[in-house]
Amino acid sequence: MREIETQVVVIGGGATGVGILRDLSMRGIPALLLEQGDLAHGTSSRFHGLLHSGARYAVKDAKAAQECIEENKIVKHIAAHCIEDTSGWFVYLNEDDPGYLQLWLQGCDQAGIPVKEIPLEEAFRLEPLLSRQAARVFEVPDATVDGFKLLWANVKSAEKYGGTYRTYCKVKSLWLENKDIKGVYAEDLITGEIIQIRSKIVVNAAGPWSAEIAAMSGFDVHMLKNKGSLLVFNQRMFNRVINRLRTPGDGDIFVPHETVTILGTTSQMVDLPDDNQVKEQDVSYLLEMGKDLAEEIELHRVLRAFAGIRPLYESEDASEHEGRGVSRNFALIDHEKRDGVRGLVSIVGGKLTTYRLMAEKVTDWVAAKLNVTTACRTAEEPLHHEPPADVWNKARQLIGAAAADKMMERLNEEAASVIAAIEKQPELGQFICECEMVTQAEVLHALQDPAVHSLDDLRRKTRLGMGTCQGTYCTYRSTPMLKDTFGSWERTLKEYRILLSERWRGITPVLWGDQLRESELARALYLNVLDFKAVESEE
Amino acid sequence: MWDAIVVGGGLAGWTAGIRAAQRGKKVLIVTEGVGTLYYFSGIFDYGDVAGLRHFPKHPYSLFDAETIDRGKQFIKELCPEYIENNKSRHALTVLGTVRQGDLMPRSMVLPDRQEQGIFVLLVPEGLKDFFPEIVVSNMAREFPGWQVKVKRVHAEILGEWERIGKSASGIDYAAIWRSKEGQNLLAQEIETIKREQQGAGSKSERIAVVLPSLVSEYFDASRTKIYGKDYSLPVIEMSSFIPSPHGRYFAEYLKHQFTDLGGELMIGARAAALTGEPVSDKQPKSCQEIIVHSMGKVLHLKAKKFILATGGLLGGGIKVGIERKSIHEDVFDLPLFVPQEWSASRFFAPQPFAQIGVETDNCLRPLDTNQGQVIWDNVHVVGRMLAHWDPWTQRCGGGVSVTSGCAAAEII
Repeated sequence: MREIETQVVVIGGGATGVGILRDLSMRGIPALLLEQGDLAHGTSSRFHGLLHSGARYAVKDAKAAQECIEENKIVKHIAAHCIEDTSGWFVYLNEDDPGYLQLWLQGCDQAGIPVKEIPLEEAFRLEPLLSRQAARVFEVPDATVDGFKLLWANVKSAEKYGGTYRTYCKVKSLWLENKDIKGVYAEDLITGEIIQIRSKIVVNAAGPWSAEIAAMSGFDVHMLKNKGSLLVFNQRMFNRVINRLRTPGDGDIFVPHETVTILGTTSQMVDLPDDNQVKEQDVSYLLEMGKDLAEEIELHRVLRAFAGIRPLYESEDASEHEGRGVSRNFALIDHEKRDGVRGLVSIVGGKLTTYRLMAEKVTDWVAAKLNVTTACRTAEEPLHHEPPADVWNKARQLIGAAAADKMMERLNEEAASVIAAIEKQPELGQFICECEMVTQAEVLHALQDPAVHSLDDLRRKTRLGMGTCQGTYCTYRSTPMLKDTFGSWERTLKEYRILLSERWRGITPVLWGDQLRESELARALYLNVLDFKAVESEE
Repeated sequence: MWDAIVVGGGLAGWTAGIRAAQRGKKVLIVTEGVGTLYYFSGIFDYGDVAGLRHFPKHPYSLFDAETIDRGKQFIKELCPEYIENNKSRHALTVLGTVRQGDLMPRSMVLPDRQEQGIFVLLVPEGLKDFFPEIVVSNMAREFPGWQVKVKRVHAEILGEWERIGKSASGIDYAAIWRSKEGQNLLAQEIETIKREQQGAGSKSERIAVVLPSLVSEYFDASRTKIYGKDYSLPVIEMSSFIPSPHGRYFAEYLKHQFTDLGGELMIGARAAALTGEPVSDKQPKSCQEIIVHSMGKVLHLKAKKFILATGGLLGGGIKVGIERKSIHEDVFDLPLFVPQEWSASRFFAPQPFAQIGVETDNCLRPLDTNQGQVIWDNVHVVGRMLAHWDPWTQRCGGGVSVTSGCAAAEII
């Protein structure tokens, strides 16, 4: 059995976990993050991608609203390349409750969220698809955030400060001696090897899986798993985030991302942390709700549906975490105080928008335990440095401005080597993925990352397969690179099948119209032109 | 007044139109676009005909063996380079794997795996979506007795594209190989290969050149005269990737065949609706004319028979609306068989939605899905518009389209 020693083990490679890893590393505390899948495979990539202004919470949760607006400003500053500063609108429809409108305006004012009313005529001019039932429109500093980019940027920054992480490494048990944490036992899911990791502190940041982790200490954390389903449209229907101005509910938010728009969200309690299959009735419901904000929603093509699990924390005792500077929005559970287990802390609940704040609170707690006095700097220090202007210019010259900008945002400081490769061998500048404009050189670069174990990991890193064709062409085009990386023809075929099946899960709930035709085209390509055997593929 | 109007210019539509024209009928083909021939591998898949005929309601069950055979004869007469696969004959996919070829061009036929020899893969520089290393390793695995070598071929005309890293598609290269310069270049390359191999002492061994994007089947003496060069070594062509050069030239060839026979063609025209009167309550209706939108005009076109060949889901003849609240056939608003279960959870599994289509009697006339009665007396449904089959998992796309197209033409 392999043995590793560190100061802190962080369980969970979502936004909160990587935020903690970065904060710990910046304060000089040795830490290892363990993730059972790929980074961001859970809730952090399965949401609408909204960077909250806090306006959505202005009425029901003043504290959360205030945290959101503060973090909104910070994240826009430290992670500019992951953010599109679209702004957001709150749209009050003719039928909506005027009482709520007043409460909302007061709430925003109290939380310090700037609100500007947009004259209706201008609103319809700026967002032509907006429902003509709109009566008043208010602008707030909402923005959109790319969860994948944000996570990778945190990890890369943490690595620079000495932080380490392992993906596909699943915690099997907590290593406890007389209720003292000594570390964890984990399994490397790729090799099957069991690893013993000695640490002073274990941070449970496993999101929907955190109840399972806490239970390994013999104590329960009361978590609710709430499934939120979302739809992806293949057009940018709106240029701003569009919210409905009423008590936040289902299907009342449109979030534009690059060339697509996400409509969210539903809310349904589930039992399993990975129950993320969307049902057709969820889709119907979302479309019905979405019609209130966009009357002609049915004319638009739905690319796919997906769902994430919100890890909601319900405290058994409201006084339990009062006075610790933690809002109702998220909670830090000190298992020594609560259960007598020393060295274990759980961070539960929360929002992606406040991931940094949650990380700061946890790291403060850890630092106090380890007598480290270094202050938190994550609110000031950007996640990465801007690549130099000459790299940008070179990239634009070689692959065109639109593709270059997308690539630079994905790669940042790593872009220089990819640009150099294209300059040397122009054919490497050809697009593997024409929807997301991912070049061959970028795919080759991503495949060199030791954390890329599959085509599906590659998808998360490069956005290959996330566009309109949903993997049909780009999967095929990555064939030679996959074979070089993964070794055999059988393995390459298996990677094809896994990726296309994963994409298929999101397509089946919206299988009509052009997406259905696209699916027939994909079947024609793989089963006929490339002669994949239908029977063999049934695993 | 035409003897028949064919709606749809895909494989089944062209087949019906040409066969009817061969029989001396006055035919019009109305087509919106080019159909899905641009995804044609170059091979007609027939699948397990005998087995599929026992599938309940499968289109093959509408035909006797003779009719299916007539379809094959039609293709072989139309394209003399096509041969029927009585033995186990195979062709290469673009990945270098080996696929079955039921009715395929002679030039695609692979040698026996038991034999020995040398394949020389000619790799056109910058050919898009073509992976020589993958092809070589797959061919080497499929043909253990054969050596696989690679030779790159560089077409001067694409020099500038190469310099800036722009790729050329299979269609670009096929056009080059059909030109005089391209033919000469290929001939030279192949002669060089021959000399090199003989110099290397492999005189006695069998040598075959393998080439993607060579389209040599659709030889039309009256128009495309250039093809016909003899090479000093046998050349095996690979089946097409998309967009398919085989599909492109096959479509062009079909068009020439059709118009040479006096067939009339209306491209960029969309058949939208029809008018027709029921003869009586009990009898099937008879269609008098269809309404066609073409170049901003609305035309009423009359014919004795109408053939619906609009290509199903992929071709666009069946429209499935949001949440599947509306599913309809676009021209005659025919009743459709719609499976209860819509999709299978595995992508590569047989998909229930693929079975959607029009149910017909043995004369390919549309049936009412409830009563089982013929709705239109003079409308015949062909190809992918037929219900109860899946061309991709049953591997019979070409077979059903050719057979039904031919059969419909025989009734006109």
